[in-house]
Amino acid sequence: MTSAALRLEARGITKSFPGVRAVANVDLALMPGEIHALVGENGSGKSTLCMVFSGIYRPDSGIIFIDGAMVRPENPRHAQALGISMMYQESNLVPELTVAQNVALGHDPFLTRQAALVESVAAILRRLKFDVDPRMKAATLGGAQMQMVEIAKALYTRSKVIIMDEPTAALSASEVQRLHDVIREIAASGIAIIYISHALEEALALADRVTVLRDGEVAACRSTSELCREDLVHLMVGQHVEIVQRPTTRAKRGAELVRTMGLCWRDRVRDASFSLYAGEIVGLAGLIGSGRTEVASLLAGINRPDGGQIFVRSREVDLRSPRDALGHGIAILTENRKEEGLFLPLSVAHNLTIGILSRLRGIMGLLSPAREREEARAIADRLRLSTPSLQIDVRSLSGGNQQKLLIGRMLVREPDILIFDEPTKGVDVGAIAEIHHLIRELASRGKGILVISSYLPEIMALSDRILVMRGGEIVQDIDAADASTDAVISRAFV
Amino acid sequence: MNWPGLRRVDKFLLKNQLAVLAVLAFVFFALVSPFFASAFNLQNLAREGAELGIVCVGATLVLLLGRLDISVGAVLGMSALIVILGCKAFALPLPLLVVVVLLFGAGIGAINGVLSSVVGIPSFIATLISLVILRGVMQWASSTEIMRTANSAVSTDHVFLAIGNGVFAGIPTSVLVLAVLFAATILVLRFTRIGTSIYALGGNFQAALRAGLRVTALEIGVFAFAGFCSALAGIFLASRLDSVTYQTGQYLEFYVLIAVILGGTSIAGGVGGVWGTLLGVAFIGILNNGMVMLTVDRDYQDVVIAAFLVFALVGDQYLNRRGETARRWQLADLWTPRQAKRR
Amino acid sequence: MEGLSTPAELARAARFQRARGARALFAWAGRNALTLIFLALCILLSATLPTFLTLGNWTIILQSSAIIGVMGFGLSFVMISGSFDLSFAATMLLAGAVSARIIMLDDQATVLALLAGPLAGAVVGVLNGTVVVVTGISPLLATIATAMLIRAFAVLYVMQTWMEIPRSAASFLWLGQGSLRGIPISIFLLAGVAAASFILLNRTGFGRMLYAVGASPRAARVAGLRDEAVRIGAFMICGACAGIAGVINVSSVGGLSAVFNISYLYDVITVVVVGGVSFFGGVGTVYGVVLGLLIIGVLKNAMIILNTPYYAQSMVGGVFLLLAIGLDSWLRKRRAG
Repeated sequence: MTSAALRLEARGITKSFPGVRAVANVDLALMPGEIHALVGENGSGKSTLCMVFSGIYRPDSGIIFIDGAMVRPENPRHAQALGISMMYQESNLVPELTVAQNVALGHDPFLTRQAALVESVAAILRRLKFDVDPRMKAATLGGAQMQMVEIAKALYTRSKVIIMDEPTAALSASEVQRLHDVIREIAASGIAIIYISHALEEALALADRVTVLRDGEVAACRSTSELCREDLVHLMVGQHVEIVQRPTTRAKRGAELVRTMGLCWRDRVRDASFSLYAGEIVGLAGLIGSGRTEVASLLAGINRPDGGQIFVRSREVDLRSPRDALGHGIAILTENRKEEGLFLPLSVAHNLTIGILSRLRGIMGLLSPAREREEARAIADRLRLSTPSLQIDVRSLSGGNQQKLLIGRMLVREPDILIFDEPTKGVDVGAIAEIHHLIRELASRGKGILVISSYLPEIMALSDRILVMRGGEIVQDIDAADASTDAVISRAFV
Repeated sequence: MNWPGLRRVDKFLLKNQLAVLAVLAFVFFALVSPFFASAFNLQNLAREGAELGIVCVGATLVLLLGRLDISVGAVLGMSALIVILGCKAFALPLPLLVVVVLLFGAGIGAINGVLSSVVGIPSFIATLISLVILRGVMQWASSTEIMRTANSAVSTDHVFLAIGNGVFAGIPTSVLVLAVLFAATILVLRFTRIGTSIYALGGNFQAALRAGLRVTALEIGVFAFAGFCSALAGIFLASRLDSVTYQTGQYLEFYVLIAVILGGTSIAGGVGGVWGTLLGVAFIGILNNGMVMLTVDRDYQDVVIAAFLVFALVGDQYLNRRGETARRWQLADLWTPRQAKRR
Repeated sequence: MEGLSTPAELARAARFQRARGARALFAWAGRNALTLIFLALCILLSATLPTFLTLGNWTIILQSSAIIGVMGFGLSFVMISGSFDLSFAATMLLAGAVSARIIMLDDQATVLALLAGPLAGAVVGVLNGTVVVVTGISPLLATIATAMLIRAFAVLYVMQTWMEIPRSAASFLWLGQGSLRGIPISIFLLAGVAAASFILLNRTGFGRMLYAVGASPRAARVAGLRDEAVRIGAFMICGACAGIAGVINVSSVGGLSAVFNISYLYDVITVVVVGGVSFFGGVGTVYGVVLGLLIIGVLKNAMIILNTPYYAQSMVGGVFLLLAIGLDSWLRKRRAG
């Protein structure tokens, strides 16, 4: 296959940051019209690789060819000019500008010719079979429609390669299907597509070929017809990670701690009903956007349900704030620890002891530094938190240690009901096993635990019972022993 | 009893609340104060309003970017001072003076812009520093002999006086200039790439960066424009009052803020425009003039203004659904609360 | 695709944990920059200005810094909690006026007058805080508005056209004009407020929560902290400090005028920012504010000794503020990647 026939070819791309090699010697080749999935765990290098393509990073070594010509994207604007455009995870639209203006952002002529612009954008939208008036403000669009506008942006700049980063993260199942149809449509016109996704089944269904990245290197590059999901998982994970195997004997299930009935919240949660018992680990599975984090937020008091009821120990409660929830013994480890968990500029000790301030009192009711050191050290030791000193900035801890810190903080008030949302996200391998072990141990002590994870093997290994969510509802409630991965996956999709 | 037209009138009133408020205020003051509706006062009102309006046009663009400029009053005062000094103390040629002053305003604005965009200082502080330095210079200059003589002498240069007090086809000159400035700004905002870029920068900074917009140049340019507008208004003021004190232009920034925010431009950026600002200026101008006509105590005036500011802020908050201290930009003015997006 | 394992962040973590040798020295210098600057300034000035190191001169420095310093401590509470308060100068005026009224009505009611000032300030602070926290408006603009309201209230309802403290109110006047063993009382007050601030910030649960709420209000809420109460509490303390400053002012001047002095606002902000309290919340120490106060105080003192004109003083102050904030913002930009 000559280089000239390939739409995009990358050879030997390497990108390092101080202390870390993000992408190592990666080769990638795309034919015109090929849909190529890019999968890998957190930290495997997929986003870095794509940022190299889209001009945000300059590679340390390696060459990139577009249609046979060597290129070096200097910045996002330059990459666009070369024909590479990227659709980011977070919204890239300006709410107050119209669809047409958003599509043409940065590429409009100095004097905007309204009519001509609207017409050319409308033509693109028609091609995508996307029925929206280009003169409407972007703020009025829904999530799926915004994706369409982003695609229109890529088409407007006459991209040859479009990189899509988790495009279906916030979409419903039917919207995902529509998006896939559109993607196939534009691929048919010769545009090559790189499709990054955590939803492996989706990627396999859509793409022609798939590249699996692991630790910055290419673990495999195959045609999707040759692989099934388990193969992908195996390739992504390799030999390194050991998921703690489920113990053969199950812990005894105790009293009912929490029961929810018909919970609904905005349009993210519709009629969620389930129970949680003492001593069991319930895994909440589902695609991103199915409402799992939102359900957790309702239980933890972060949001208030619009409808439905929550019963804690058979008594109905109204959780108006996380403080309320903590009062009832419900604690949560949120999925974005940097925004909702850690106090970043503060020290490790400070972060640890913030929940037990009353225990640190010394003379005249004032806090005693000695007591603080003791308590902080005690918690840190119990969790095997490895840090040179307790006074350092919490920012300098590794992901695993940060999670352990937050778990420690969670535990000081001795809650009975624990919610873990993506507990091992961005955590190094060694700490993952420790965290799983910790969760197990907590369950065996009689706590009721809810675990949310997008990584199905984790759910399968940890849970005694699995709830599958789809579109804001709980569609399945099965014993883990009876569940198979396929069954769970299929229930998570349409 | 259902009069069909009533519904429509109600909707019209709701949509154009600010215009209604302005009209109501006008009518109120006209009824209550004998001097308010006199031709003399109305002309005065028009001139004051025009000066405020000119400054507000520039300030609107700054707010659209999501930034704050509290040095507008100081720039206006300083410009007026330079004009008075240049014209009455040193008898410099007027055209030269005008150009120098306008360049001065733009220059201060550009410095503000550089501090805000390149160095990354929150725009509130950057413009606060400009304000203090300029006010310091003004205090010193106003206390010198030259300034005292310049202020006490009545100007004999007719051209100079005509700037602020003249009439062209029955309309005060400052109003005309405002109209031209306003029209030019509208054209740029709606019909050029610059306008779209300003809204983009204010609305979604990341998107603007990724689209390759020249973020730094734009910010510096907008601040420079705001400085230019303040200087322009300063020229008119100097000519109209024929004197300057070290307090000239003090607290102007509050009035400007209220007018612009009431007019629908959000302090978070990306929303609003100059049309609304015009209405806001009209309202604030009428309010201010009316209160002075009624010889309302200066401090009660402050109360009214402050109340309106709070009202405008709460309204802005509610309309744009901002949460409390949420995500902060890397360069941004961190005083404006922004909605943290939950997934 | 988020998490600590993105390359830039892992790199940063690695960097932190490898500080040794030259890096360690730089880090130490960075942490103690303020002290070093202060010492350097003192050495420079004592070498070039003969009168600099005298006790009399230092008394003047500290005394003129007392009011600014007290308000600075108050403001730092609010800033650490993540908000801002521009109305403290107006609160100072109001509290001073309340205090003056009382002492003018009864020139022996010293204790009442002395307590009424900070009390009034605290009440104003609570109101301020409630408005800002409950409505969620930008604290900067909201406190600009409340400043106008407070000042108007003070002028309209509390002050009289001519306010002068009668000579007979000796104990009241002693506070601002008297001294103990040659050291003015106001300096003791400054030290007292500094000590109280230190204890509040570092040795109470409230102080801990303040830092947490300022660092991340969302995380604070999730952790179950009463973030709204804490933030309002910070405003209350700021108001009380402004009240104390107002009382000192009235007592030392012997009267009160309604002229609004923007230089107070400016000086206090400069002191606090130079002292390392961050606008972004969660960062700041009492020691830093003390150093900021000393540095600015020394600078001003030097300029007065050198007879520099008023406008030049504000320019120098402006440059310092610029440098301090510029450095803070630039470092923040670098850290953000």
